[in-house]
Amino acid sequence: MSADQVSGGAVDGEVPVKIQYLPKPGLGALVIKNLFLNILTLFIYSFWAKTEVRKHIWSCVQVMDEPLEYTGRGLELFLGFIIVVFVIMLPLSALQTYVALASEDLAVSYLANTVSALIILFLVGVGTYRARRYRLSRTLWRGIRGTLTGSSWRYGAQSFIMLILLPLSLFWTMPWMNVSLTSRMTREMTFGSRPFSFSGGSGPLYKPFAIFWFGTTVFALPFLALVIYGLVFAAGSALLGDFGTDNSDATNGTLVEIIGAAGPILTIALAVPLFLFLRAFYTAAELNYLAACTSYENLRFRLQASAWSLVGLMIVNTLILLLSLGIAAPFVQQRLVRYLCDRLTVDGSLNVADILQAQGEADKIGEGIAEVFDIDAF
Amino acid sequence: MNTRPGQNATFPGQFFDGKSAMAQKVVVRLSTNVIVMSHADGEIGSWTYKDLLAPEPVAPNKPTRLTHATAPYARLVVDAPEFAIGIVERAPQLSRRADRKRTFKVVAACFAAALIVVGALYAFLTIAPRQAAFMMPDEWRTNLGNQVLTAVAGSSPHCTAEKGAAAINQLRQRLSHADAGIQSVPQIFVYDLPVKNAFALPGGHIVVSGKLVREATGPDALAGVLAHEMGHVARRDSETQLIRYLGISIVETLLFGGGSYLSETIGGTAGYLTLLRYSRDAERRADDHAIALLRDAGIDPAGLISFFRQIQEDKGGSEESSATEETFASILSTHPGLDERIEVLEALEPWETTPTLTAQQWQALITICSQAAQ
Repeated sequence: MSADQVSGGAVDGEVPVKIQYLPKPGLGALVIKNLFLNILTLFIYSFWAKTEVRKHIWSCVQVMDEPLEYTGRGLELFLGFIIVVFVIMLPLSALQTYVALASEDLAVSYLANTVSALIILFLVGVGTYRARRYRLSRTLWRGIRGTLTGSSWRYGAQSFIMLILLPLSLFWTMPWMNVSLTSRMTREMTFGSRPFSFSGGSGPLYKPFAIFWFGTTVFALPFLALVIYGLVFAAGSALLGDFGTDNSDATNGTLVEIIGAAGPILTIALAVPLFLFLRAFYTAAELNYLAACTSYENLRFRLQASAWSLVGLMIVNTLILLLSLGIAAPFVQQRLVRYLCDRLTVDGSLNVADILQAQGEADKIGEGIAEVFDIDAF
Repeated sequence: MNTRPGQNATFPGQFFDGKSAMAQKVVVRLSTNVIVMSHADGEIGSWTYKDLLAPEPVAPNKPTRLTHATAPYARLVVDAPEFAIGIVERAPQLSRRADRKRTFKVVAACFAAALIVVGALYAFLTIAPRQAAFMMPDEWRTNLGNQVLTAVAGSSPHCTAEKGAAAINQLRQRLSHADAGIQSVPQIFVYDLPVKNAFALPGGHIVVSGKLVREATGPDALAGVLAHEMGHVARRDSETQLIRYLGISIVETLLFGGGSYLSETIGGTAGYLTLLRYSRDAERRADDHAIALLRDAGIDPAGLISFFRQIQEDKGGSEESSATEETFASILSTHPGLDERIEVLEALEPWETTPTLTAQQWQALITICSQAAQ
């Protein structure tokens, strides 16, 4: 940004937007400090720990050379959690316990459990929306915050219905679900006084989805069948070993054992990576498409996620989590944010003077539901 | 070396007013009580030192970012080490040390909260369940007992051979008569379960496995086992344990989300037996109860002793295992400290006994499951 355009004190006019992730030292020390304090306080400190991690990661994201700032507080997350525990979880548990004790019929118990599972499924959508709203209201750039202006209940209802349809449609409603939910959320999102917009349907995603779906079904299922076949024959050969007296069948037995042993190994060696790759292939297509559908003022977004890079990201992140027993989760979060920042290009230019502060009250408490159900990584 | 800025030193900075996303180039001056921001057109504002806030602690090695209690969305950014040093001297609340102090306060509060939570959980899981077991309506206890029975013995054959059932009925009547404080005569169900065990159900009934009946050394041993289970019934140990389990699963749900359901978790005989690992204290009290019943009913406690010995042998050469292993095993086992419990029984003054069942009755009793097996 050039200071030559200054008149009065103002710096910007119509300017291009660049988003970068510039890592800062200190995340490792923060992780260790948080672990220690979490243990000391039986994880009650975890709400404050999470806040510190967000502050760090947010501050590494630079938009036009000015970092994002996370202004949430640990106490807000803590209170959100407590309220959800007492207003939602405790009554649900009490209901289940009462039914388990007072009903003579097991069927009634199961019904009560099913009803509470459905309530929870609905609340997952509500919680996702509210968590996003809280985070936007606590994210500042140049002192301006984001908002989410719609109804979390309506979003929850839409997500609930779509999640129910998902298994019924053998997952073919997935692109439609993801595009509709993202579209709703994006159109209800603002940064400062200006809204984001989203245009596009789920049609273009059905080609990559079909490749994913048929690829998984056509290639992965035979491997699964091979495992079952292998297990059945391994069991068969074990039985032969016990009862079969005809030793001339030994070669056949060995072959069967080899198939029995090779089946599961082949599956792990081929089907799992194949599935992961196909899924990453679809996810990359979806992420890129969702970004392309999004705009803000005159800005368009271009994401260049690719299947291979997503697979790499996922494998390393899984290893980090496994090897650190989940303790190094903040590094996983950092890698995700960094991946998106590195591959995101913003086209067009922005007149920052047009963006005024968001109106309306920001949330007083934070993301209780998402916290209770552990909805996402942050 | 960084130098300390003097009075009225000025620094270039960037100001965001919190009303629009526009950046303003400003000159910042450290005045006596306030920090003054101005640009080409003149002064644009001043912030008192005491109400300054820093989104992250101020340090000389990074740009200083400030805001003010009166303008929480406004931001001032100054990238000069001297400024960082000067501002921390004038507004000590911005320093790393002040930040550490605030963290310490939060941690201390969390620590106190953790202590309170642990205390409350302890009370909730130790004292409250027994209180609740005695306050629970009988109808609920019966329902719970039926659910447990379905989960534990649902698929196993119910042993009801006529003569055997008559013999076991005689046993339970004799023991119940000896029980002065008994609320109702318990029903005794024999099921052909894959384990050698007996347990009390919520609601006051008792389940005995066919294997235990068959392998018992005699009617006195079986009477001893039943008397022991009647001790658990009297103290409502199984209700207490189930309520405690429900409590734990509620706490678990609250902390980790998701749900675990009683009927699913009991999940057959093994699950329920795991659930019913009573404390040593509960076992000792059930033994005391059994001794009193056997004495009043005139039944020889030697039967119970031989049963305990048998369990020890079944466990397989516990004599040979290391002391640590044994302690560990006895803590984990449903009936802890067998040696100790045998000693207590052996130390009893003998009392007058009459035979518990005739040889024919016993023969009928140990074949109680044969009908079910056919």
